Amino acid sequence: MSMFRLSITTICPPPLDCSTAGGFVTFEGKVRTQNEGRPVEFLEYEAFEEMAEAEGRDLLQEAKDRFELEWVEAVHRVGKLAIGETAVWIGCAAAHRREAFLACEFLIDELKHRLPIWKKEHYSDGPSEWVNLQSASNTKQLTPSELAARQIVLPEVGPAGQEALSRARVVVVGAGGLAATILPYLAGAGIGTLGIVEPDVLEASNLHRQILFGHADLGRSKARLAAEFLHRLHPHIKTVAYEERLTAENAPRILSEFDIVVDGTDSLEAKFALNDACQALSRPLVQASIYQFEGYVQTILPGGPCLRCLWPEAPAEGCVGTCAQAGVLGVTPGFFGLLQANEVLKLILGFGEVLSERQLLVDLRDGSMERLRRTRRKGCSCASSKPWAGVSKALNWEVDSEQVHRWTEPFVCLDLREEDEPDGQIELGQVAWIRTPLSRFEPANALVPGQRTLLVCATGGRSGVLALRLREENNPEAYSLKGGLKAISDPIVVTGADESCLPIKDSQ
Amino acid sequence: MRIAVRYFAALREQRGISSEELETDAVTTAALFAELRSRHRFSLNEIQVRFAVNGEYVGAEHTLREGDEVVFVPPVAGG
Ligand SMILES: [Zn+2]
Repeated sequence: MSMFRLSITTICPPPLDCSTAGGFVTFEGKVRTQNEGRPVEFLEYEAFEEMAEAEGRDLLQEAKDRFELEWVEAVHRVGKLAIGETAVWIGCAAAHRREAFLACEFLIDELKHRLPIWKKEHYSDGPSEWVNLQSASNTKQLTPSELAARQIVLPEVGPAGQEALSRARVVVVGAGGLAATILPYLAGAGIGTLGIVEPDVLEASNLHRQILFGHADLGRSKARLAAEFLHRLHPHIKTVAYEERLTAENAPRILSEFDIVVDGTDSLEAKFALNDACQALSRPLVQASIYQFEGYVQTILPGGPCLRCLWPEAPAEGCVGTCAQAGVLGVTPGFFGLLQANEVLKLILGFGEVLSERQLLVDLRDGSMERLRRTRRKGCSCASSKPWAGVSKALNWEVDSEQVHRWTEPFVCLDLREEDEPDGQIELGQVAWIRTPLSRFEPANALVPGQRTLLVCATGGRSGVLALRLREENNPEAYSLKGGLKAISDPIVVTGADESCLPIKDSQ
Repeated sequence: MRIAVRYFAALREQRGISSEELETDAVTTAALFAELRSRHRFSLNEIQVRFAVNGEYVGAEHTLREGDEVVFVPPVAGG
């Protein structure tokens, strides 16, 4: 009988209860004094209990079948744990030791990965946040580029853009009606890290517009519910749930962890606080405000025009209606949240025009939209803000022909064009040019480990996607010719493609 | 002169319509708003509302011209 349980008290390892087993392996995971260089005082674990127990039981059964275990049990702690306490205990028994060792390692890896358990580290040098354990593990599921295949095709995205999205760190302040569309669409686009700042628990009146949540979630932390929702969409995402109200005091600590801030709040006070904090920290702020069926969206860049350029002093809270007083349909914040997600994507990918100089007013009653030009106000404090540093883009796998000509290291060109496309080689300084149609491409045959490889195709799309995928599969020497063969304005064409070139692997 | 006016958010609610064309002698944006405020009993005053003319935010003392399109934008905070 395999058994998994959660325990709120100190774990007492169950006795080995299996006389047919010859090998018995146990594992204990303990709370240690340090995490990523920060001194830990104590830890807290919290589980989505029903799900965790069901998932744990399934996992133990899977390990039992897979490794032919005679016996298996596991216990995971929840609640507050001091340094030195056991956080997780796993015991496996098999006829022989090898299966027991393997099963035990498999179980600890998978438990961390699959169980909806949250960890909060309390550091002696500062506060902490809840981190979903699932995000800390490496999933063996779809790669981000596979998930994003439909958007990588867009010239505005491409592999470079997709990489920028996966590096981006975006925080949404307020997990309400706006966040209900902001968060899932940012997750879907492949944003690597999403923060959620929200102190409240779910109430019944939230459900009509906050569609990330359901009836069973009432009373639970919205920040963590949102993070769990995003994990179900994309296990790759790192989520950080801040169960606190954003204040002038905690804003620097929280917001400086992110590249872009999205305003999902519903009070003037919060909107002005975010404006001021983002100007001080040089972060773009994507803001939306709604009233019944109307609203506006704008992006406030460091240096303005900012919210205080229009309203030097925050208007009194009483002179605007909140959604609670004025009423709102769920679709309204949903619609404006989508526009905010779109602003974030434009900021990261650099296409189109962000609403930084204009404010977009929308009336959902008649579908009318209007853009109002906003200007900097002389003497506004935003004038002294440092410009945004942007999302870090170390996108060095895309190279143009000039960069390639400067390479001193020998490299081969893999021409990914299909057989029905034009052929012909281009002189870029390569030691070999090999036609390897993408439809028949197999990394194991086409790549030599450590050998620099330049992938080329007609326009750089296919080669870019492949280069990104190969990089993900640990081929740091895979490059893509940016813009493809079309981008080379004055090519030196070597006539007669040599399709009989030996696969480079044969040279080893 | 004739001016086209659009009311946003709470002002639309209080006016009951989202836009109208009207005749006015008001010289500035703030004066036009003050005139409409007393006519329609808006809860917000000239200091609490922002004005846009022909697609651009302008100050309270902006001079109006025949045919201008004015938008009155109150503070909005819902989300
Ligand atoms: Zn400003």
